[in-house]
Amino acid sequence: MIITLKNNKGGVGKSWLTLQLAHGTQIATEEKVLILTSDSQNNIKDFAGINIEINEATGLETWIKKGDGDLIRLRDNLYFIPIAGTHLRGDIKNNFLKLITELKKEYSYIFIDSTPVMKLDDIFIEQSDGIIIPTFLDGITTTSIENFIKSVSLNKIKAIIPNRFNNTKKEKFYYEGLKNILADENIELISPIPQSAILGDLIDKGKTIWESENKKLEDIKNSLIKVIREIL
Amino acid sequence: MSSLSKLKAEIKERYKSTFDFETFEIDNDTKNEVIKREANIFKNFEKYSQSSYEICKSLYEVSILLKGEGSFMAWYQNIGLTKDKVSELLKRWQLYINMPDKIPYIASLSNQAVKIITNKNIDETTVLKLADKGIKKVEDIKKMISPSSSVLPKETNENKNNIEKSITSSNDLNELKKLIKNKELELKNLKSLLAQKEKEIENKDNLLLFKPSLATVELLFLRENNIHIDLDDYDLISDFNIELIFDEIKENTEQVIKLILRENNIEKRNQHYKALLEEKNGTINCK
Repeated sequence: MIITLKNNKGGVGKSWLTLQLAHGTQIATEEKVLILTSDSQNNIKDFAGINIEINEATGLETWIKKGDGDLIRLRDNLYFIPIAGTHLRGDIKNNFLKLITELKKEYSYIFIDSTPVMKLDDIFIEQSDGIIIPTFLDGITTTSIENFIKSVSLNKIKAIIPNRFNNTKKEKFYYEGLKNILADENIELISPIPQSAILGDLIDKGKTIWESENKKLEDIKNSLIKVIREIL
Repeated sequence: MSSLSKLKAEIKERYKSTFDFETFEIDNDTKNEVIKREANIFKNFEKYSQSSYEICKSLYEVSILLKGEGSFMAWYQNIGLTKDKVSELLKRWQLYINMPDKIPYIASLSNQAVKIITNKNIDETTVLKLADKGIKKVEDIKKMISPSSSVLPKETNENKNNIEKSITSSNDLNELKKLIKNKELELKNLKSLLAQKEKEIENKDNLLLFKPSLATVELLFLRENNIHIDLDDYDLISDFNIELIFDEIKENTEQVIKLILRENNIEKRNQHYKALLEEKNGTINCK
């Protein structure tokens, strides 16, 4: 099963949420889980506390070109293919389709941290069984979500995750707006994930929320479990 | 237990397969792959059941909204639905609201099964019994709604041993009593038929006194006029379920035949049938 996290707006927390959902899914299912990214910052490995320099030989580009490459092991049965950020040439689509077919044999769940670069975006969406949209609660991002929802199959959109919530009047207004947009759709709009010092601390320590016993994270955990339920 | 552990436990429970892999000597890797896909089938069937429920619900709601307007048919045709499909979905909806705890069972019923068990002659208790036992196959449903016993063979003299084997509980004894009662009734009817026949032959120049049963007349008519009904359906023929058989007859004729069946006078009914046949160029095939 392929799950893509997507929002054309940067900084909404795609990479961090991809890692949390992938790790949560791995723990819940005990299956092999893989994360792919098209974000050349490769923040996922940092969020997971892994310090490895990425070069072209270990990137997604090599996998797409040769059908093979290096893997970064983030946790037990949780792997990551980073991207080196080089320009992709040749028949990217067909090569990616071949690669994903092979990876699906090995991994029960493949999470894609998708950024609108490197011609891969549309192929990711096309291949996905589910799409998750992380978002800010502001006017521009809400409009971009509306447009995105119109452009893809509604059945594929599993959840919308409002992230970095500061509990302002405006944010609450846009949350209600999103609720109205989604009222008749079968899409889970989860409670906003607050901007929090505890999360910042976890990122610094290279831990996921599932590795913390902090009671203050219970609400966030429950919200993300709702999303995982939609995926499974 | 943390919320993620709860989910983990739930998933483990959900993935339990009851298939006997050992008997078929299936290796562990293949077994795990099959179980994964089995779980996927179940998960998607749950989604399908819910979708079926939602489709029927929405259709029913529109049928109410547009009832007064008289535009329901135009509306469903516009979205590509046929009269047959709408009828099936609305009948399925009746089952969903009558048995809200049996959504997966109802969703798994074939169109023909829905048609049979929503027939007005089938009482609610029988439908509940079918759902409780999870009976889905049309032939099994037909057996259960047929007046003869479901646990006993149809021909009692055909296999006495089978009857003995079938009786294991007091319920089965009740079924046997019911069967005997039916047979006694059948015998009584035959005796009465014999008496009528004798009288008929005796008074053949007089006014016709013999009136065969409703089902016999219908059957003769169907045969004479080349209306095809499957052999299985003949087993079901009886006064109370004759309408069920006619339900099988295709779309355009269904309503007409139902109207004809409301006509008490057999002669008039035959006239209606003849007119219907002429309209259909001499043949009606129900399958």
